[in-house]
Amino acid sequence: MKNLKFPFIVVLIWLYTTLMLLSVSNVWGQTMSNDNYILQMGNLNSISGKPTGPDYKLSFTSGETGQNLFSGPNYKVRAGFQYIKSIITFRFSINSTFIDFGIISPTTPVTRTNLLTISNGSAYGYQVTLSQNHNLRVDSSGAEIPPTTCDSGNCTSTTSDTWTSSLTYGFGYRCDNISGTDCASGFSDSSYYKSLASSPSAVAVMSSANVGRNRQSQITYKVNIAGTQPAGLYRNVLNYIAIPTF
Amino acid sequence: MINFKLFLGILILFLTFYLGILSSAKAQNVDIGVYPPVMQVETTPPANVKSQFTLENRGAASVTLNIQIKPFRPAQSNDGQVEILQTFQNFPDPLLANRIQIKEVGIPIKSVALAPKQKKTLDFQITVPQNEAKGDYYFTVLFVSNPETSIQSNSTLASAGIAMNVLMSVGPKGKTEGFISAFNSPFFVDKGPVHFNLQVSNTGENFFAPNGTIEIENALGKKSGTVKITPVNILAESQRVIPDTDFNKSFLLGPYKATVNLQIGDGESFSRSIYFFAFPASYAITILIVIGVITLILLRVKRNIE
Repeated sequence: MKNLKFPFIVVLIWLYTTLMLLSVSNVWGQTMSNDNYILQMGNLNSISGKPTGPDYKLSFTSGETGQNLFSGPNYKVRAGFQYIKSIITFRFSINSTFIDFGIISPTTPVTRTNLLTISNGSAYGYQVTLSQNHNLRVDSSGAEIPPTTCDSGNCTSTTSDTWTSSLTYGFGYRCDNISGTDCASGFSDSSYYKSLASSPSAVAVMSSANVGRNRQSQITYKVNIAGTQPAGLYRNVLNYIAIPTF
Repeated sequence: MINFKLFLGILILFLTFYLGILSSAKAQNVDIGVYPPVMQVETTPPANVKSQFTLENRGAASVTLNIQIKPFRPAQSNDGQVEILQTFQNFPDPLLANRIQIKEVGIPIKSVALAPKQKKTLDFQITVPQNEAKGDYYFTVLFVSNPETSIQSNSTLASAGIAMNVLMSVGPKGKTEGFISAFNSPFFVDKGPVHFNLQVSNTGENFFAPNGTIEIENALGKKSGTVKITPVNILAESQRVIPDTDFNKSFLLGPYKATVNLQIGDGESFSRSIYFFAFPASYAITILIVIGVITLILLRVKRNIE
């Protein structure tokens, strides 16, 4: 018993330390890598002189890796908006790209959510468009779960309506504001849903005419099937594109 | 013997927890950024246009972004939003898209891989031949992630894409032409800020960004404030509502005159004036109530004294 006690404690300490190190995942800074090395630096801040070449010259915003003015024979390029001097990245995130409906039983709707977050610090506005590559489909048989038309049979990819009945089938979504008020119209009532547009068509699910940071919306996906729906694995891909204003 | 079983059990528990952390990566997030969100190019053929932009992966997992180029036109909302088009047939030269290249370390690429927290600077290049058709070209460069496809479950996969808009004028540029299509505000305001609705039309062949100010004067002709016009891009043959045109002064009293002085590119200057009236009714009501209460108190005190 005594012989096992010491190695037991050592292993426990090693496991605890490993888990703690793994949970510290955010290392901020510039990372460059290739097959031979990885460099991680707190901030890339060193520049010296202005690079020039036979066809172009670059001007740097001090301390950053972006530039705002390029010129050469017969052209000039302004990068960014002339009313914004600093470099502000246009940023878009989806917190979960895998929406797992699990086992779908007839007349038992399943809902799942994910979060969209936008920061458009330099653009006076943006939109996030949504489309699906096709309906939820079994690739092997081609069986599909159709887009929902809601309880009334009237909702579309642009017009919302109530969907509360367990006997209304299909696949749809809704948008709820978490911060800001950027969700598309038509979702003021929590029972309202729209169907998804199929590519190449797309509809805006979030938009704003203002500068903003960390504007967040929650997308709720809902799927319900009839007892006659063929069995299989139903899958599709949703394409979210964040586009700044010009 | 018992202690060994206990040790083994705890070890299995830790390993299960450890593997649970790893498996959560399946529900991965995507967090991408691009700078700049817009590029404005002016060129006269022939030219080999070169610039740079940065793509950033702020997520905890690697991401591969496919590169697509799509034309756009301004959305009918006139607020700078884009409407993506599916073909280049409306371009002065539909084949220009074939001469747009994104390069990484000098090599043309169709996709770019980013490690977690990695930022890459890429080259943006357009070859403009001598005989390129004159006019404006508006397109967006999309960077779209590939969702994982090996999932064995009823599921939806989300791909995330981010766009960089490009406005290009192939010259020589035509004359900059436009006008103020709308300039108004509420006629009566209680207090500031006062919102001015300013819309500018571009009737020329090339995009421009207007410059100017809105000057506000009071009844005595004295300047009360200035609102700088944000030089947003207005595309050819379109109009745009200018954002951020609020006069941020909270206390206002009397008649005011607001004059917009606008210059478009190197072209003409425009000017238009409107009038509005301000009366702080809410302040006045509050003051009247206070005076009324004080008067009542004084009358009561006087009556008591008598």
